[in-house]
Amino acid sequence: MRKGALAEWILARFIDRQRAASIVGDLIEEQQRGAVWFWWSLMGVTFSSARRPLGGFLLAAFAGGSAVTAIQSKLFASFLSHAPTDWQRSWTTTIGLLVGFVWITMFYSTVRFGLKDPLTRSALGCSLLGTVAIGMWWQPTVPAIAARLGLLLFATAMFFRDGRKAVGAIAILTLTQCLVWMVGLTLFATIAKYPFQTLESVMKISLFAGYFLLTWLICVACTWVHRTILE
Amino acid sequence: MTDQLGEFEQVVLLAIMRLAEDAYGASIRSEIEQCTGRGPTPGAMYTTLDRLEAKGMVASRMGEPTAQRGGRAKRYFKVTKAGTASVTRAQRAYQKLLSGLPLIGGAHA
Repeated sequence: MRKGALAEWILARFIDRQRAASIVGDLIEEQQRGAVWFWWSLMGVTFSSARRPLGGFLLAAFAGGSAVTAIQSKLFASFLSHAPTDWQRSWTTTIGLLVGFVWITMFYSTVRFGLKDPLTRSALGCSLLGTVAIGMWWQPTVPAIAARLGLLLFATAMFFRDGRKAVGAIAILTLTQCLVWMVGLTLFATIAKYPFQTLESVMKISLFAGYFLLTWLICVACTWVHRTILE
Repeated sequence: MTDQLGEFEQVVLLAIMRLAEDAYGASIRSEIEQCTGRGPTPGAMYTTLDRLEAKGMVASRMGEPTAQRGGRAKRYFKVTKAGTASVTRAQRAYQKLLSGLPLIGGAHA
């Protein structure tokens, strides 16, 4: 049935295929109510199902992106006033980037899976500790305390099944984000070499489109990892 | 379990309990429509079912695909112990509020 297949395809953009199939099956069972009712109901179900993924994506794109930018700009400002060694500069920049990625995961997960979800809680813990650690990197005791607290939380998480899974999920997602951004930036740098990209408006549009596309990919990865590991 | 149940959540849980082994999306909707005279929109119902499942008040399992549904399987729901306890608690509260009021069988019935 073409109508069912199309409806299932639309719904499966936002929820897992098995669940989408069962919902479409329910709607087909009630199709004596008419085609208008079928599509209207599908729209309702799609909207209800899409609210969280879309809201999560928007929050990840705007708040997550702002977090990454804020962390990096605060770091660079602190480099000017605290004259770090090369080693300090490289570890704070790297950890700052990773912490920013965990913030993106946290924002998406909060809306998509809720505050009680193990992934959200672990991501919140990691991002807060990481931000504190690198936010005051020039005070050696602060990163040291944050690192010990982080280790303590990590050890505690290892005692629980959900905790182990959540830590694994965060590790996978952070690595995925590193890869996604690396590929994205390389692609952008390559495209930027072409003369038609010298137009400022084209540059801006492609930069924003690329950013949203990459964030969307990260959100898809987040949903997939959550479904595969935590559910 | 300290989660409070909303009114519609209670309706859905009671419909699932009434249907016992045959509680899936379409049958739950139809049961609610028969009992209350008003069918919930599918969007509201599936969101509620997902929320109840996330709260641990219902559990779901997939059935076998059927030709009547274009080869799609039904997703069957069952109220868990936590769900039964919550709905019982909520209904007890309603009964306390109702006791002494001549509503059921009274002039307003």
